[in-house]
Amino acid sequence: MITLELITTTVEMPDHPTDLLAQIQQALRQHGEPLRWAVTGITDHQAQIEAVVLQASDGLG
Amino acid sequence: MGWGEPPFTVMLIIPTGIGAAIGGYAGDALPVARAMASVCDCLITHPNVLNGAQLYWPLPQALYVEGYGLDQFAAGAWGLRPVRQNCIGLVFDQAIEPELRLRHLQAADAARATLGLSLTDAVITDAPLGVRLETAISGATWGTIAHPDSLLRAVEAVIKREGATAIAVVARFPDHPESAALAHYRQGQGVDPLAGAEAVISHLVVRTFGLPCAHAPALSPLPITPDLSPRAAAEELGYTFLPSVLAGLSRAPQFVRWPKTGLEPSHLQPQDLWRDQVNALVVPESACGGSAVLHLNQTNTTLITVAENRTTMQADPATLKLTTIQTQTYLEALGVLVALRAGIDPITLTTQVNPVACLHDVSHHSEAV
Repeated sequence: MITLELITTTVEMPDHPTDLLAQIQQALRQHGEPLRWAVTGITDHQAQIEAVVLQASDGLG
Repeated sequence: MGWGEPPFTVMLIIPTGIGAAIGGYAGDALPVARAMASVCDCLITHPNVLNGAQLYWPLPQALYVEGYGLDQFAAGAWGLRPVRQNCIGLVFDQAIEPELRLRHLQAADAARATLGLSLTDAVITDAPLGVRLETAISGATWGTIAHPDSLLRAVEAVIKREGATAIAVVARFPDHPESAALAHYRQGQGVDPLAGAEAVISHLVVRTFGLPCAHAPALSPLPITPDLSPRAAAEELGYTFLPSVLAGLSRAPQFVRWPKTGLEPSHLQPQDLWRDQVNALVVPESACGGSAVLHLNQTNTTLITVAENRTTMQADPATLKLTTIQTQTYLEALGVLVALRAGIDPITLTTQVNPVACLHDVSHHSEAV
């Protein structure tokens, strides 16, 4: 059984821009498997992220 | 191409559901794609750019790549394998009324008889998919479906029973003919209220099955209006949005999922494309916060942003600390692409050519380490 959830979260902007991607992926994995996401804005060094994540109870490939 | 030169490959992204001034409506970025395809050897772009509901334009050098697949390609996880023809599997939402379903079957019939496309028989989901539309704080539209398992079972059936190699999903979307959001959209303003949910549906299929997929919403026809924007007009010509989806999927590249699938390097083919072959990526200036952009920023791909294509996003390259060539319009971006293809530094085509400076003496370099 899988569900799709729309979530929002924030990530602190890293000193090195190349670290942003890894931080976003780590933050989203706490909610489920990210299906679609985007940084929608940056305020006070915080990147706002909107995403739809998969929350699965079985091992869909 | 000059002798020995690799193909010049450009990726064009205009995310759906973010109110893009160009590309946020009914295939209204297709002229941009046509122009870009004329200045490159390969144009990688996605259904939101190439789908004009009843309208589409065949671009032999364009690759129709669904957004989730595009993200995986940009991440270096998937390659793209061009094909001559896919067998398109049709999946219809159980919630589509019989008459509307018949309209879609007839659109499929027309695609087969008039365009020569290869289509399977349609599979109907075992439950109504239950599309839900949402608008987020950013102003972007998102959405989900209540029964994703039903969608995946139907797709699995059309693959295993019918031999489909690409998937066209038609889901019943809610009709809100009096909604303000729809009224704005029809006037070429605001954000496509359906777009976010459409993207999630196709993303789910591509993620699960690794096959090309695109979605066409099933909706009741709207009453005629004299205030219809040209940018939205293509979606009000007929009963379905299916024709452009079928045309695009017919030649959508297959995905090469290596090395995770355990394929040996010898299974790769010369025509496969990987992300390190992308010379340039063109995106709206305010929408640089997506997965594909952030992944390709870590490669040698030149990022080109277009300021005129305003969106509801506020993720610009400066605050994301991305190195980009900033342009105002797609016309300017096309000029940059022409220069890049010719191997010319775009800055040399302006009045801002600075002299080459000598930065520091090599013998003092160790002081900076």
